[in-house]
Amino acid sequence: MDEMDLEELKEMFLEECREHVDTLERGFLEMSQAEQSVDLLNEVFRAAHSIKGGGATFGFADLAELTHHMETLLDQMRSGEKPIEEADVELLLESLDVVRELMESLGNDDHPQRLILQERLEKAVVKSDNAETDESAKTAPTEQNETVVAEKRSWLIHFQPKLELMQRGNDPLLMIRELQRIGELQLDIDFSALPPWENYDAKLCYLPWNATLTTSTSEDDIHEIFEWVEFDCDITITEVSVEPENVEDLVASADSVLPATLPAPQPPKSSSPPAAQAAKPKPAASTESSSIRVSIDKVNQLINMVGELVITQSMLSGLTKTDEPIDPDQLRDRLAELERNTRQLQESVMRVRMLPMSTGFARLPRLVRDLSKKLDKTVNLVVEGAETEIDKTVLEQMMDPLVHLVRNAVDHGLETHQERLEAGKPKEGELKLSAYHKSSSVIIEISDDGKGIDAQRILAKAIERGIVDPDDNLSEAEIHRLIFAPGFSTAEVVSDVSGRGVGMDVVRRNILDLGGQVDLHSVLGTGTCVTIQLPLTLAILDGQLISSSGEVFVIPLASIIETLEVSVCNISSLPRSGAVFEFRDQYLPLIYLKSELDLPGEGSEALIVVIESNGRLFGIAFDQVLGQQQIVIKALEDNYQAVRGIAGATIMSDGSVALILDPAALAPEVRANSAA
Amino acid sequence: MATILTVDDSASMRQMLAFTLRSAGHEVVEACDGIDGIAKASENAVDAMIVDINMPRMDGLTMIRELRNKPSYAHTPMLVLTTESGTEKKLAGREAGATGWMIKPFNPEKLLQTLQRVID
Repeated sequence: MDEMDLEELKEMFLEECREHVDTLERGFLEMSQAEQSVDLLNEVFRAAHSIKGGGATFGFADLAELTHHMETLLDQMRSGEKPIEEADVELLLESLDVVRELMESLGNDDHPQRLILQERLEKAVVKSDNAETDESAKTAPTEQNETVVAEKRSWLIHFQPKLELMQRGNDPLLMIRELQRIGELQLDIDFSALPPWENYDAKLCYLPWNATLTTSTSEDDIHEIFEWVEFDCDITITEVSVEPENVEDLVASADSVLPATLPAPQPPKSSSPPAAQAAKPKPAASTESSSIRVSIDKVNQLINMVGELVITQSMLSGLTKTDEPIDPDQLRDRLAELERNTRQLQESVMRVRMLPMSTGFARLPRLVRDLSKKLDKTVNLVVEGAETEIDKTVLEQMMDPLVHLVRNAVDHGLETHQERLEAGKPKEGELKLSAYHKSSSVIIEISDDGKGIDAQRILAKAIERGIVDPDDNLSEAEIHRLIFAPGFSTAEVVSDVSGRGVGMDVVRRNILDLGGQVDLHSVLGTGTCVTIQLPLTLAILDGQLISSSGEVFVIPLASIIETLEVSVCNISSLPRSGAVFEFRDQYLPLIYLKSELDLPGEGSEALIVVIESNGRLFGIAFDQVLGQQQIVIKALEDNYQAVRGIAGATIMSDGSVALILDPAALAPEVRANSAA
Repeated sequence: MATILTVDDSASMRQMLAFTLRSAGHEVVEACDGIDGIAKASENAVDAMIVDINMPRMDGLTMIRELRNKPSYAHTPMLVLTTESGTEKKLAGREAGATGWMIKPFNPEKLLQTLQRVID
């Protein structure tokens, strides 16, 4: 527990930094709006301040230095010394990007932009004439452990306290002890300053003293001992140029000599951690953080549930303690209780991994702002349901698609001022992000009130690209969905915002890989809404149970298109590429689970399940359909070893183990590659 | 060995302080802001405090000022741990009743040495 690794502390600091960076970003964006509250400016200032302080402590000197410059500017904005101007906010946002990069490089690399930004920040700061030399700018850790052994010198110290010296927790006795620690001390206390007993107040400091100190410690370090009482006493420290052996004579000549008999304290053990600047380089910086912060509520709930579970368990075992036969009704009640506890416990555990969508949404206002500036559009971003919780991994993997969709909406969806006014819409476009729970899914909607999707244009393009046949009779919704087809692009001008439009199929694939679904609804001239449905968690999956040669397997339900009987399929064997079968006017590769996984025993192989993986279809032949079930995924690697074609295992209700098939690895093209 | 109250809104900074102080055998009580600090100071017998200035809810100087007025903490060492080291800040600290100040970033060994200046 107490041997906490410095690396862990650093990781923790970076985790905090990410939160501070989000606070800063949000704050900067709000600052550029007309009214700013004092609270906001204080909050922003504190965030910058925390990054700076921690950065310096944990050895991120560059980070500390840059945030120091930001903080100085923010401090002036906070105090009203400097008005908040758009250009400054822009500068702060630019600096924040560098802060983020410095953080993610774990302080290993300097950033080419950093010094330039610092200079610009410095220029932005209002110079005051009486500005005191700013010591705090020196954020680099101070040099310690000088190895030069200095010669011993003698000092005469005169100390005259003010009566109230002890009222801030300082104590002259401790200063004397400190002097004793660094050298030989002869002390001469002037007791004549003590008042008569009846006037004595233990809270006051009466006694002045003179001391002679022989030490190799520098004058500055001696002064440092009195640093905190410089306003509470008169102190003079002068060097005496006598030989050390004469010092005693010198002191002895004083009126009353008291040998200093205070116990010398042990110097602090050097078991303290190595200086923070000795940063071990880490090979790769990952933005996906491996730790999670959990609110105390969730932990408490978890503990509560465990408590209930323990009670139920003891009630159950109580049933068996007596010699009397077990009452079946009681047993059933207890078991029902146990089941309820288990389910609640499962839910509570799942909640630990859940994060509010706001952690992901936080990046978007900045994105929208930058984009709309670049494209000269005005966008009002509305966020709803930011408190909706979602699994951490799902959220992290969801961010790229989400950013892509937001980018598309601003770039292609919303019109320019001119176009909007011509269409009789307000100049300001609206982009709405909303998130909410629906049964065991999270729904995210990205909707805009832009120009919508022109179905005819999409269709023309799709026909041109050979994605659909001109004779296909497609509904408008089906046409809209074509933009998710691989290689589809409608942007007539390739803009540097959304790139070449290769994105939508990638977006769809990413979402499918997460076990989610994406759909699009658009009305020409009115707007577009993209709906994403995501599973609450990746640890639980809706599975289709099947069997082959007597073994039970699970196929993720999301990847199943259809299940067919072999007898109705037109199967052909090809000499080189194995078997194919006819499905909706096309031939798909077919694999036999029995031979694929080398299963012993006989099987009918009477059914084919059509699977979609990475946008490609293929079939798997097997024996029997068993049913659907929610399953908890257990990693096979942890308990056994990785097996190709198997994504993991799960424990069935009867206690037996079923393997979960991995469609992506079973897909014929992947097999060909891995066999080569 | 003493019981030290550390007050800082940054959990990593608190951890770092706790790590350093415990390595020297001190007991550590942590608080996340001024209000929490006052609460922890009244629940525990604290020998010294290390207090950050900029914190939400209640800043460090306000906390020190309030505790200084309580008889049980009238003479307890309260050190400000801050990145700000200008004379103005030092005077503000003194005015609030702070015993002294230490500068962030801190070198762990140096911090312990400095702390030794105010605890028995």
